Amino acid sequence: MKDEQRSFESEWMRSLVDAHAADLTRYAASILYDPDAAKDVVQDTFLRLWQEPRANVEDHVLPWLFRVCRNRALDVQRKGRRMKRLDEAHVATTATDAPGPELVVEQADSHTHILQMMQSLPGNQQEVVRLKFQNGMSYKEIASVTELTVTNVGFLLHTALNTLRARVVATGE
Amino acid sequence: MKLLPEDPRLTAYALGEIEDESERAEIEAAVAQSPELQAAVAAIRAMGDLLSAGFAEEPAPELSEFEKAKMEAPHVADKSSSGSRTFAWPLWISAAAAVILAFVVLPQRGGVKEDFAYQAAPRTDVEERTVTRMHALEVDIPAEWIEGTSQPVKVPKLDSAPPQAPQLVMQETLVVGRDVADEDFGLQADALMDDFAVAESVPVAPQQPMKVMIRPPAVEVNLPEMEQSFTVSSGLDGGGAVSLSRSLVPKAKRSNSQVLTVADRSSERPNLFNTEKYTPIEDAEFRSPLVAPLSTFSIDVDTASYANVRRFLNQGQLPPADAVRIEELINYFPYADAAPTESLAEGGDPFAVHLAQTVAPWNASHRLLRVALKGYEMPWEARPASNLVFLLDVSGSMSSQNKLPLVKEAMDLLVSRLDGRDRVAVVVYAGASGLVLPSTTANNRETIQFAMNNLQAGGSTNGGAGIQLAYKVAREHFIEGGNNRVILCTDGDFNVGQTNQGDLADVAEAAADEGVSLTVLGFGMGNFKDDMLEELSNKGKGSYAYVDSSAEARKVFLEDLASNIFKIAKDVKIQVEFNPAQVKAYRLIGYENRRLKAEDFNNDLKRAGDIGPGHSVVALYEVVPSGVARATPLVDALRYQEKVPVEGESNEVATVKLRYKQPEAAVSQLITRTVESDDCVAFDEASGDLRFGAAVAGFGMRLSGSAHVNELSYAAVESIAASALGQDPGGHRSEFVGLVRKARTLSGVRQPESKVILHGVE
Repeated sequence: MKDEQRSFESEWMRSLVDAHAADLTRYAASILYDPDAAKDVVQDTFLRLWQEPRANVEDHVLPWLFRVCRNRALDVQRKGRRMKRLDEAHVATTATDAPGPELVVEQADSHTHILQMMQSLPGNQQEVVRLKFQNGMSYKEIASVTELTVTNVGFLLHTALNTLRARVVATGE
Repeated sequence: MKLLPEDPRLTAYALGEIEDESERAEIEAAVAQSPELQAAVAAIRAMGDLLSAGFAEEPAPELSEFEKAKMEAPHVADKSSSGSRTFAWPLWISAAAAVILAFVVLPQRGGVKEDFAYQAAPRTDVEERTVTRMHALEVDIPAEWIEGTSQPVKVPKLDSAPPQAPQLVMQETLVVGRDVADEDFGLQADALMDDFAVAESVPVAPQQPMKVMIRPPAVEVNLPEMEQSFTVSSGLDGGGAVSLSRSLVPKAKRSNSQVLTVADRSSERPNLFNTEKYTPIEDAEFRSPLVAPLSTFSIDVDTASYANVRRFLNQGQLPPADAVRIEELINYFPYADAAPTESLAEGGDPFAVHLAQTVAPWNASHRLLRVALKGYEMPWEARPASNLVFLLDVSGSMSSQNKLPLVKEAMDLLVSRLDGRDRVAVVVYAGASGLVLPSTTANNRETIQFAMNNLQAGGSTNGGAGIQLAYKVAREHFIEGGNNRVILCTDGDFNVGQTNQGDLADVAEAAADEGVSLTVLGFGMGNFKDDMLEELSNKGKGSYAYVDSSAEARKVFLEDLASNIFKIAKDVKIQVEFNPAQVKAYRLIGYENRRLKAEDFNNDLKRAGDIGPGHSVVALYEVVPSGVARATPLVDALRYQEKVPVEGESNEVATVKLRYKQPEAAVSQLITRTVESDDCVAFDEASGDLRFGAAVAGFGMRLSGSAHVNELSYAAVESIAASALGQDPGGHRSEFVGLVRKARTLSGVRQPESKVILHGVE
C-alpha cells in the first residue's frame, strides 16, 4: 500500500519536474543571474514539494512551486548580499537605465530587443511581466506567487506594458 | 462608464483578466464606443504577443537528466534510511506542537501567519535541508486542557501515521508567555514565513493575557534526550504577525553542529578550534617468548597516517602522538621486494613473503626482524570488473579547496583509468542524501565528469543515510566475482542521523560480508575524524588513505590505484612464534590496533585485512637476542613448562606463519617460513628497503614519543633515509627526508649530525 502510494507520488513528482523544472530554473535564474544557483533553488523547491502533503498543494501546484522557488531564490540572494560576496545579486534586481552588457547582443532581432527593453523596467514589473508572458499565469496566480494583491499585479503589468509600448514607439518601430 | 486609457483595468481586460462578468461587459461597452480605447487594447495585446514571442525564444537553462533525477527524488535519503527516519520524527513532534499551539493558543489581532513544519532544525548559513513531512498524527485536544481561553478549539485532522512511526503524543507542559521576544529569532521566523506563507486568520480578543498551558495526559514519546526551546515572538504593538515555534533537537546533534560551524570558520586556522579526533595509541612493550611466544596481527595496508603526519609537518606543527600509526607510515612507501611471478590464474601465491634481519639502528644490541609481503602485480588489463560507488560528503565542511575540489580531481583521475567493463555511481550526502550519478559504465567519462562538476558543498552531514544509499546502489549493480566497492570521500564529520561510530561500522561490516568493501579517503583538516574513518575502513575491509594534495590524489588514484581498489587475497593474518632459546624479548612496532588473539589466527571466521595487487605490507619486530644482558629479566624462568629441545634447529629465531584466503574463498591457506639467527646482517649491509623502513619506524617512534627509540635522533633518521633512497619512483622517499628535516627543526633540538653508531653484530 505504502509503496503504491510512493510510486504514485514519484510519478507525480516526475511529471511536475518534466513540466516545470526548466521554467522554474529560468525564473530563478532571472532573479539570481546564476544558472547553477538557480538549479539548486529549484532542487530545494522540489524537496519542499515532496515534504508537503500532496492534497495541500495539488490544486494550485504551479503557483505554489513558483512561490516557493521565488522565496528560496530571494533568500539565497539575501544571503549572498549579507555575506558581501559579490554585488551581482544586487545589480540584477535593481532597475538599470542602461541595458546590461550581457544583453547588448543582437539588437537586430526584435524579440531579443523587447527582452532587452524589459531589462530596463523596475524589478517588480519585470517579474510580473515574466510570470504573465513567459509562464502564462493569471493575475491571481501571479498575485499568489509574488504575495501581492491582484490589483497590485494589474497595476504593475499595466504600467510595464505602457512603458514598453512608449519605448517601442520611441525607437521607431 | 468612463474609462481612461491609463486605467489598469483596460490592460486586465485586454489580457482577458476581468473575471466579473458585469464589469467585463461595462468595459467592453466603453471600449466599443471609443476608438482610442480600441487602439489601446490592440496595442496592449500586440505588446503581449511580442513579449510572449520574445520570452519563448529566451533560452531555457539546460537541465541534465541527473539534475532532474535529483529534483524528482529528493526523498531517496528518507526512504532508504531508518536513521534519517528517526531523525525526522523529533522535528515532527515539534511541528505537531506548533500546530496545536498555532491553532489553539494564539489569539491575536489581525492576521496570523504560522510556519510549523520547517522551523525545527536550527538554521545556519550553510543551508540545512531538513526532511520533514506533515502526515500522520491524530491530534485531539480537549478544551479543558487549555487555560486562559474559552475559545472553541480547532483541531487539525491529518492522515494517520505511517506504521514505523514512533508512538507519538507528548507528555509535557508548555508554558507560553507573551514576554519572550527574541529579535534574532523573529528575523529568522520572518524569513521562514516568506518561504511558507501559510496565512491563517484567527479571530481574537486582543487584550487577553496569553498564558496558555497544555497538559496532555499519558503520552509517550520514544525519543532520544532532547534539548527544548520554545519561543514565541509576537509583534503585539504592531498588531501584526505572531510567529511561534519550538525546536526539539537531540542534544548530541546540537553540540555537534556547533562544533562543525566553529570548525568551518576556522578551517584556515587549524590550531584554533581543532576538533580532530584520534584513538590513543599505546606503544607496545617488549614481551618474553617464555610467556608469550606468539605474536599475532592482521595486516594493514592503510597509508592515511603518513599523509596526515605530513600535513601537520608542512603546516609547521608536530603531529599529535596519537595521529602517528607507525605501520601506516612504513606501508606508505613502495618497496622493491620481488612480487610473485606466477599469475593467480596459474595457481601462484597472491603474495610473496620476504624475511630479513639486521641490527636496530636505535639500539646496537637489538635486532630488527622485517616481515614483508608483496602482492602479485596483476596486469591492469587482467583486473576484475569494478562496481564502484563513490559516496561523497558535500556538506559545508567539505567546501574548502583541499576537500571537494580535490575529490573531483581524484575521481576524474580514477575514471580515466577505467573502461566500459566498470561501473561508477556517485551518491552524495549532506543534510539529505541523493544519487547524483546512477551507476554508469566508466566509458561515459563526460557524463561522469558532468555530474561531478555540478557538485557543490553545502549543508550538514548525514553520513549514515548516505552510507545506506551507497550500499544499496552497490548491491543493485553487484558484479559477481568483481570488485564491488563503496569509496567514501569525507572529512569524517558525520554529525546527523546514524552518527554512532559503532552503528556505522556495523553497517560497513555487514556489507563487507556480502562482498561490498569500503575504501575510505579522508580529506581536509580541522575537524578530521581519523578514529572513526580508520575503524570504518577496517570493518569495511578496505584501505584508508588520506588525501591532502593533488600529488597525494595522484598517488592514491594512479600509482596505488590497483592496490587500493582491488584485492587479491583477504583476511591476511600473520603469526610469529619466537624461539625462547634465541630471543629474550620481542616487540611488534606499530599495528597496535591490529593485534589479534593467538587463537584467532586459525579461526577462519575472524576477519583481517585484505591485500591488493602490488601492495607492500611490512611489519618490523624489534628483537632482543638471548645473549643480551638486561638489568632485570622480563620474567623468571618458568618451572613447570615441559622443555622439549628442538633438535638441529636451535638457531631458529622465529617461525613466521601467514594465513590468507583467496578473494572468494571461505577457507584459509597457510604459508610458513623460518628465520635463523645467522641471517642477520650489519645495518649498513642491509637492503635499502630494510634500512629505509627502519628509518621510517624510528621517525614514527620519535614523533610518537616512544621510549624505545633511544639515541636515534631526527638527524640520524634523516641520514639513514637519505642513504636508502634507492630508485625512489614517485619521489616519496625524498619527500620523507624533507619531512624529517622539518620535524627536526620543529622539535627545536639541535642535535649533532649522525651520532648514531652503525655497526654489525657483536
